[in-house]
Amino acid sequence: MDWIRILFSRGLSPFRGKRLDADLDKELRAHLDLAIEENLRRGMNEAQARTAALRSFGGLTQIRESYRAQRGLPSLEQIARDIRYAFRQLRKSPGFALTAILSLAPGIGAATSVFSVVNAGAYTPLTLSLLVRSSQPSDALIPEMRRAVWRIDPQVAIPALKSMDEQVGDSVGSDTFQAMLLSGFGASALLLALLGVYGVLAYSVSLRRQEFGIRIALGSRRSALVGLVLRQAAYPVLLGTGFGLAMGLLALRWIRSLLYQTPVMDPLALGGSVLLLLVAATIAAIVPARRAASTDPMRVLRME
Amino acid sequence: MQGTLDLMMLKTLESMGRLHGYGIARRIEQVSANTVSLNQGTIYPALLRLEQRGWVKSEWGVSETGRRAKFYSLTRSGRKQIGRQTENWERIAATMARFLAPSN
Repeated sequence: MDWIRILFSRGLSPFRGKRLDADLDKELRAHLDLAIEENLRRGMNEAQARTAALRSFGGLTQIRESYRAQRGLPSLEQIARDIRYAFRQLRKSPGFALTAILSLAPGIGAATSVFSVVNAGAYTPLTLSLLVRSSQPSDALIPEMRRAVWRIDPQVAIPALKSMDEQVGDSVGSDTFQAMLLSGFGASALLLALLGVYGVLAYSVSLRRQEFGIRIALGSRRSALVGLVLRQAAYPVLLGTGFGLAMGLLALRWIRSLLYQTPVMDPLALGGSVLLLLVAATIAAIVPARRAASTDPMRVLRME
Repeated sequence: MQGTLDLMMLKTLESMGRLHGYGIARRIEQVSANTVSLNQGTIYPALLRLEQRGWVKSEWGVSETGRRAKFYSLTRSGRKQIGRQTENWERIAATMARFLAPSN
């Protein structure tokens, strides 16, 4: 049962941080006062007593830090701090956020709407067509043809039996070609969006090399730096995806008025392109993030 | 070793009863005849760890010299923990003693 209590106590601590900090400070001050008191009783003067008390206490800041680390779920607190930091960074450099959002939104918008259309039109399973020429009327021919096919393989599904005239009418548009063209547009829009994310993020990392160097020199773990950059990239990406989805839905409505049988919203295409985008955006962000983490503090700090 | 300080603190609270952090630190220094060079501050994260496990509890009170301080005392599961950790330590000590024995 211990872990429940520990989790509870640690999990709550981010919300009680200020009060707990004040509590700790009071406790540490009491400790020093008690130590000074005892040193005075042993005949030291005020200054000596204070110095001795501080010396035997050890590093005040380190103790506070390790106390805080023990207090909270470190990663949770770390994440909360990173999120606050990312927001501040967003406000400070709206350029990055704007670029990322602007490059992502059209990409995802185009991708979702296009893939929805393609999915509705082109995603038909493999079929085999048989052409039958006969002098009989087609009504009489149909049951005969079914029987003939099923005699060979009773498992085969026969979705459609059409007259030649109907078939010709149906296939006026070369569906597959259009679908491929559209997919190509969608995919390149997505690719452009990702290049945008990568470029902007890589640039912002290169501007902040000194900061990363300082962070590493102060003891930040490299994995924490990767996380920091990734989380910083996450906001614009998520915002951009949101805008993109909205744009995609609008575009889809417009396409619907032009094209026959397009769904209002295709969850598969929507989910698929969002997922694809998030995965690809993560990859686009990981490269600069890893570069940030491999900063050599000595070199960066020496250079102005 | 982490367990070392934990057990020292628990034993101190067992023999002294309710005590503030400074008292615990001084007591450990005295009992160990200053062979343990303890940064007194390190007991606070350790005390917090014990408190999170439910082995000690803390409350604010007033010291014998009239200062407000946080006092720690053992809980029931803290007492049980002393038994377990003592056993553990004796096993380690016995093992080490066998290794360090002059000839075997």
